[in-house]
Amino acid sequence: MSTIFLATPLRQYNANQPQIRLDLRSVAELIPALEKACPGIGERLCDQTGAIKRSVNVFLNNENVRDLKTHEIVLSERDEIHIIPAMAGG
Amino acid sequence: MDVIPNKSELTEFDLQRYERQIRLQGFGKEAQRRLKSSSVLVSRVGGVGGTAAMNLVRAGVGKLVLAHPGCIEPEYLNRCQLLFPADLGRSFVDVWAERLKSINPDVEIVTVRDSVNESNVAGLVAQADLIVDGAPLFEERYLMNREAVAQRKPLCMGAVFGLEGYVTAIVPGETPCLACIYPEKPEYWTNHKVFPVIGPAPVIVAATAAMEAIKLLTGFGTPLKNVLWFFDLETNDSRRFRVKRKSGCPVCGGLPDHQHKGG
Repeated sequence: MSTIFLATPLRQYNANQPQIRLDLRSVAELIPALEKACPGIGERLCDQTGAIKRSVNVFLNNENVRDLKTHEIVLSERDEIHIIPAMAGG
Repeated sequence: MDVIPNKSELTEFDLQRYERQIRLQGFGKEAQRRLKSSSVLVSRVGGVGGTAAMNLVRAGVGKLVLAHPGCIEPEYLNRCQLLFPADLGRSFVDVWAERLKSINPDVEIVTVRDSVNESNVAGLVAQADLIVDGAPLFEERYLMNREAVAQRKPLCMGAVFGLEGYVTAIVPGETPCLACIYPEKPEYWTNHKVFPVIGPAPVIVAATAAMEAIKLLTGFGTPLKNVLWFFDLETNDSRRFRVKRKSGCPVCGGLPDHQHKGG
């Protein structure tokens, strides 16, 4: 089970909870598993092609998943994923 | 003949006022002189920008350029450290200039009763050594980011949403710019009142952004280069996310890579 931390604008899809534990084998499974557990969140995170929106960053243990060579890395129990949309509040 | 003091010369009162920070290991009088001769552009003096400006003036920055349109409304009073109910209806920048001058009468303040826009951004950035961006609209932030990169000026970017916030130090050619990190804004960010917020979150962002500005202006400490520092006061989670330049970035992709190795 991996721990996924959801930023504030995403928590409405997770009963206003900041995190969720999901059984993921790889990062590639994140969005389908998240959408299954938190219906509607996929539309907030992904564009019409299914790619993660450019206004959203997903970090696996502090590394941006866009910078990873592959999304097929096997995840372990201790892995943490943060999903952080852009913000501009002041 | 009167002797005109060097602008960065520290007076006896400066030495007393800044004694505690001059004592910081690696700071000293030289860093204090650099602050005194520095200028910072602050885009919007709301919860983030205003508090950052306050910290910069307290630390001894010599000149601030403040850009913010309009007048003070009640909703700002939950997070703007030096604004009070009696200020309602007064110009943002006028009140901030007054308050900042009361902290340090020697600080030079330039006020602009407008937000950053296409027609003023180049002139505003040209007046400053560094930018602190606390604007509540992505359009203003992307514009400022573009101009900072064009003029090779460092930019301390801080933002909040609710109890969360993040800060990074953008140094053109050394770090990713805003367009590298977040190339697009969220579709729901349609106006400056989109985000909920409570006072402590922007205070943390502002204090961190101000410290990043002080570091970049003086060479003191380790700035948040290539790091997006994130916190959530609801869960007390905080992270240092690694962020990288994007070679195809339409804003900074053409700059040569000046990243220092082993820093």
